[in-house]
Amino acid sequence: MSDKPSNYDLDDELLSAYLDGELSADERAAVEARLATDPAAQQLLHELRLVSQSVQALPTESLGRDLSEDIIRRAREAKPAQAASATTKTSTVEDRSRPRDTMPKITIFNSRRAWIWASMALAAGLLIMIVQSGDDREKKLPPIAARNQEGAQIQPADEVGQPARREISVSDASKPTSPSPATVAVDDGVYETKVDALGTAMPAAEKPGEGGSGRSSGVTRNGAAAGPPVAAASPAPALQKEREEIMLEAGDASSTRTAAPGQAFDKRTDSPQPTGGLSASGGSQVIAAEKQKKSESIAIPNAQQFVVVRVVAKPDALKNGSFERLLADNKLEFVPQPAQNGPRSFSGGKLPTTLQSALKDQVSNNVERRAVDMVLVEAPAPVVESCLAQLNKNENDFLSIAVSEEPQSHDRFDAKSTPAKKLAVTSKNLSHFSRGTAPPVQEETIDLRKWYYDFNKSSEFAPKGSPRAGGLGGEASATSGVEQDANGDKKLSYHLQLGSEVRRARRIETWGVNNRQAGEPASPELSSPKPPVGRAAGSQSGAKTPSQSMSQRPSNEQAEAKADSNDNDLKVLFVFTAAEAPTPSAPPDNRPK
Amino acid sequence: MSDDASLIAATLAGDTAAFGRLVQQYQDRLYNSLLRVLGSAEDAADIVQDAFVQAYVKLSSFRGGSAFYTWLYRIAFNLAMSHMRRHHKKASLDEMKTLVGAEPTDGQPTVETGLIEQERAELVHSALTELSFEHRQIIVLREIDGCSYEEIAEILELPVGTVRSRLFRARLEMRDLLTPRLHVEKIVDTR
Repeated sequence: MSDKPSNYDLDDELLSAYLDGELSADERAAVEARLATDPAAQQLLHELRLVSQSVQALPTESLGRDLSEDIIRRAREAKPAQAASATTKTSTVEDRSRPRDTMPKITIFNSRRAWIWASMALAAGLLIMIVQSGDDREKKLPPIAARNQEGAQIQPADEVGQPARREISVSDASKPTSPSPATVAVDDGVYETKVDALGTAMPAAEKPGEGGSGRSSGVTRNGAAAGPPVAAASPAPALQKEREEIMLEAGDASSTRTAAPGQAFDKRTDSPQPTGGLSASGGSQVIAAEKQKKSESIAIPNAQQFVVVRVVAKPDALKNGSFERLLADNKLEFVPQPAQNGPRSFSGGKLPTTLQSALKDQVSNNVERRAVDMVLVEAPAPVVESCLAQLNKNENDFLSIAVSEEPQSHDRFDAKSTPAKKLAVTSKNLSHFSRGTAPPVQEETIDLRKWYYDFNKSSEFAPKGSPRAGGLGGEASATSGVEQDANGDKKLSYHLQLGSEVRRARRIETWGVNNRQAGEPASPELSSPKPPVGRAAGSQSGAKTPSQSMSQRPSNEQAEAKADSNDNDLKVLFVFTAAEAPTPSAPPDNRPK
Repeated sequence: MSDDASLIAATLAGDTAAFGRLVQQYQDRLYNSLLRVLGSAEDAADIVQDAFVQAYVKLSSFRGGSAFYTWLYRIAFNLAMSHMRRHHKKASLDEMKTLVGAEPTDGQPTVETGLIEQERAELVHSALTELSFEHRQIIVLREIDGCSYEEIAEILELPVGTVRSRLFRARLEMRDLLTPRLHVEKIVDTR
């Protein structure tokens, strides 16, 4: 054959077509004319013919068997599946007559590269899943709940062995640790409500003729206007702290779980509300808790300066209202307190007499142990200084005064506000009001963690008819001092708002004054013994003096309190200790039967 | 109506035996072509079956615009191309080269005068398998199946002009591959 390079022009291509008879007449004539004169063309045509003949000379191979049966069998098997898949395709596919449309689709997993890409995609997906699942759980929680994560994690197991689940429950005294019908359960910031309590609580609250129960429950269901329940309506930090207190006081005989009934409190601030509840119908609490969760973000008060003033007072001074008059002189007067005449069921019904006695007995034991009365005052610094000055001068009633700051390590809720720093300055200025020896205040009586939210949390006192709650405002909007409610009880709290200044006082629930007999007010302005502080205080106060226990502030008032609080205001916690030994406990007629 | 058309109509009417006759009619021809294209009898047989199965399944899409075997070849050659891309097989090229290893190196008549036609066929087949797939299939369609340019264009979905030029170049490539082997042929011819 020729060794010519395979570089032929179009005319040479015609030679191949000439060989195949695929030329037109003109082309064939042109090729023949060339072949007649061009030996190279003749040689090429010869070579092409040899190649063609060589291939054509190849023997014809046959399968040697009939494939029809196998093909038809396979075709029948493939036909139904193909028909089923064909129904999902567009009609254009059916309309095509070109065999290429019948080509099998090349799946991506037929190549190694496709498998590599698929593996990488799968790995990326798993990585995303891992990264997402690795996010901090608090990122998925509400802001408040996320902040409470730290506190939640350090909680010890409660006495019923549920370390991961902390509950604020309302339980009957006979069943201290039994699950409450009205429970606000918190599990790492995720609130759960046992709505089964609604079934029993709401109908009970709506019963007519049970001491305003209908109003209470109705207002509660209205949400914002309702007095939040003791635990659920508190701001989230407060709620968390109360839970902490429950755990810390779990071993105390007067802790929540061993407390008498009536520790569930649903009290309005603008009207006399029955508090406590043997029936523990906490449905309204549950409802309010749900609503409170929505407003918890605004329930965090501003950081304020905080001072603790420990006062050793004569017992008579604690009874005659000397300190209350001092407050009144400084425009910090008593504000009517929602009246409660005694422990009542949650729906407002009176507690049985025997039960009341039992409650008093329990509380009186605490009174004998802790002889402290506390009043929290929030007012501008000059007003506080004036109060301290008067307190300092009254040596007859107040034997010794100690103005001091308290450890702030618990202040973890608002680290940015640096209240400790402010407190140092304030204490330095106010410490000169101290005189005598600081009274040995029983630390377990005062839970200083409460100071931060005492005025704003709903579990504390809410003044009846206060400017905030009652809508009074402007100059001299204070409610005059000593008043009596419909039941004849003395008011407990003070609240005066002058202009934009915050002047308010609130009695802090304590274990009581040891020189005060059970059921006897310490002063004309002071009603029955104070409940203890904190969550345990709630239970105790509910048992002993439900009138002053855990009155609820509406959430809008909390927001208002936050708004009008400022750095110039001081929070002063006056802690009174009787100078003399406590008198014997309650007289026989007040003793539990 | 041609025989193919009637068999197709009968098949579409549910007569599977009619399609069996179509298979019997074209299976060997298709197999022979695929054998030269794929270089492997086993692969060729598999592709033949797959092509007929697909033709049966898609038979309703065949509208008779072309000959049935053209349509069938299109299916088969596409399957063959996919098969080649997957396996990158070069048929039994190595085996063919083993046979070619007996080619003369010193110009002396080392080949027996009775070189049989089978050896020549293997020689050509070996050269054929060394062609590119495009060249191989177009030569097979032209030289073995005797397809016209028009039919080749339809099967391979190419313009006729491309078929002509591609076939020309495939022949030149084949010629270059057969040159040393045709030397043997010359010897044989001289004898």
